[in-house]
Amino acid sequence: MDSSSLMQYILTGLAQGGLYALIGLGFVLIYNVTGIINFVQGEFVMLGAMLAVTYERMGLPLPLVIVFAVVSVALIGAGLEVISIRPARRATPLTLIIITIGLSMAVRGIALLIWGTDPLVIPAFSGGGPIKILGGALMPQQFWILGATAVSVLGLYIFLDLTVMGKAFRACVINKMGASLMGISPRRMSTLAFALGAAVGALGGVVFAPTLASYDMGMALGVKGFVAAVLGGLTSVPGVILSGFIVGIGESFGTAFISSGYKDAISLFILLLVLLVRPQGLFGIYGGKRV
Amino acid sequence: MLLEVNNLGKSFGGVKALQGVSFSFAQGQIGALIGPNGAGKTTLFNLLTGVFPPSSGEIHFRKRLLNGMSAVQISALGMARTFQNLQLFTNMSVLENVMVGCHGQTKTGLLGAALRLTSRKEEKHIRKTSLEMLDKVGLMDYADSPADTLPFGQKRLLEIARALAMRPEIILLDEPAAGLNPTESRFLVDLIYRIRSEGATVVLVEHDMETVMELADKIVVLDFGEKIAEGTPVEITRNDRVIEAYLGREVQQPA
Repeated sequence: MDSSSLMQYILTGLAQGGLYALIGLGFVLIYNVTGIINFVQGEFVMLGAMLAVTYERMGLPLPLVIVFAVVSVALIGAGLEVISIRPARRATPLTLIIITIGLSMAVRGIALLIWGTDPLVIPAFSGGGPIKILGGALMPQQFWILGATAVSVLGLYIFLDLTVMGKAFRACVINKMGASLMGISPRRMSTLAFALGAAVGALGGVVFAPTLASYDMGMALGVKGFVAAVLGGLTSVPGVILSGFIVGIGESFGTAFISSGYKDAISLFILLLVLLVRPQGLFGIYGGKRV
Repeated sequence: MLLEVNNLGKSFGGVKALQGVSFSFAQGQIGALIGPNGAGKTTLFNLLTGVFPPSSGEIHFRKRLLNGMSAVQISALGMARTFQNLQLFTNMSVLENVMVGCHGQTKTGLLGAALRLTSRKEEKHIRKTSLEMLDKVGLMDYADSPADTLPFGQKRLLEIARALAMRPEIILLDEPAAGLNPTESRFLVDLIYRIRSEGATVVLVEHDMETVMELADKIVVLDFGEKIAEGTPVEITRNDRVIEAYLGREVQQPA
C-alpha cells in the first residue's frame, strides 16, 4: 500500500471516528450519572439528523438548523428520562437498560410514522470539493464532523470544569450520597445527563445528516458509539473520544484490507476483543469513576 | 427548639438500631451524641439527614416535620453534615469541593446552566465565598490541590468547610476529632466555637471524651439504640448508667 492511500484510510477513519466519539460520549455522560447504558443514544443521533433535515426544509439558515435540532433532541432526551426512567428509578440498572431498549424501539417507530422509510437528503453544509491533506483527501462535511466533536468536548469541558452546576454534576458522579447531602438532587442530574447525552448525540446526527438521514440509522450508529464507550472504559471522557477514533480507524482499515462488507463486523469484533481481554476498557478503573 | 426528636426508632430487618429516642437541641447550642460503638449514633445522623427514613417517631427541624423528606430537601432547610468515613469528591480540587457545597445557593436553573447562561457574577461570588470557607478552616494554601492528596486531618477540615459553604442552620459533625493529632484537635475545637459564634448550631458525634466535655453544652448518651442519659457534661460524668455503659458493671456475686 502506498503512503497516500494509507493516509486516506487514516483520514476517513478519523472523520468517522469523530462521529463515534460523539455518540459514545452520550453513553458515558448518562452512564456516569445514572449507571444506565442508554440504548436510546443511537436514536438521539437519528432524531438529530431527521430534525436537521426537517428544519432545513422549513427554510431555516444553517446555524439555526443546528441549534434547533440539538436543543429539540436535548428536550426530547430530558422528556424521555422524566416519563420513563424517573418513575422506575428504584429498579435495578438492568431493568432500566431494558426500558431504554424499549424506548429506542418506540422512538424508531414514531420516526417511521413521521418521516417514512425513504432516506432524507440535504446538501452538505459547505460546498466545494475534497480538501487534500498529506496525500489524502477529506470532504468538507467530514471537517464538520470533526469540528462538532471538538466543539462538544470543549463545551463539556467548560460546563463540567468551570461552572458550579457542572461541578455539582461531577460531584453526583463521584459520590451520589455525598452530593445529595449537599443539596444536589440526583434526579435532576439524571435528567440533565439525558439532556446532555441527547444533545451531543444529536449534534453528531446533524453533521452526519448530509451523509445519511434515515429513520433506521440509529441502531448501527448507536452500536458503534457503544463500542467506543466500552473501549474507553465507559466512564472516561478522554477515553471515549480516543476510542471513537480507534474504532473509526479500525473500521476504515478493516474495510481496506478485508472487505467493505465486514465494515460493521469490525467494530463488533473490537467489542468482543475488549470484553475478553480488557473488560474494564482502555481507561476504565474498577471501582473508580471519572469524568 | 431548633431540632426536636420524638420517640425515634429505626429497624434494619429484625435489628433495632434505634428505639424510642427523644431529645432536642436549641438554637446556638453545641450538642453532642455519645455512646459506645454500635450505640446507633451514626444511624441517628443518617435519619436526621434523610439518608434513610425512620421506622417510627418524628423529627422536627425548624418547626418542620422531616419524616418523608429526601436528603436534598432536608439539606435545603439548612442541615449540613460531615461523615465518619469521609465522603469527599475525590477527583476534584479542594476548592471545587467547597464550591459544590455552595451549589444550593445558585439561582441559575437546570435549563439555564445547560444552555450556559450561568451568570459570571454568581460564579465569581461562589468562588469568593468558597475561598473564605477554606480560609476559615486553614486550607487556603491547598485550594488548587486535588482533594485526594490532603492528609487525613485536613480532609476532615475540608469536609467541614464544604458543609459550612451550605450556610447551614445546623451542622452535624460525625466524629470530627477521630484520627486528628493534638494540634489538629485543638484547631478543631476552636473552629467549632467559631462556627457557633457565627450563629450555627453544632451537633457532634464524638468518641474523644476530652473534646466532648470541653465543647458540649448538652450531651445525649445512647447505648444499644436507646437513650440512657441527657444533660450537661457535669451531669453526664456523674450519671451511673453512663458509667456502667462505658466501663461495665462491677462484677456481682456469681449467680
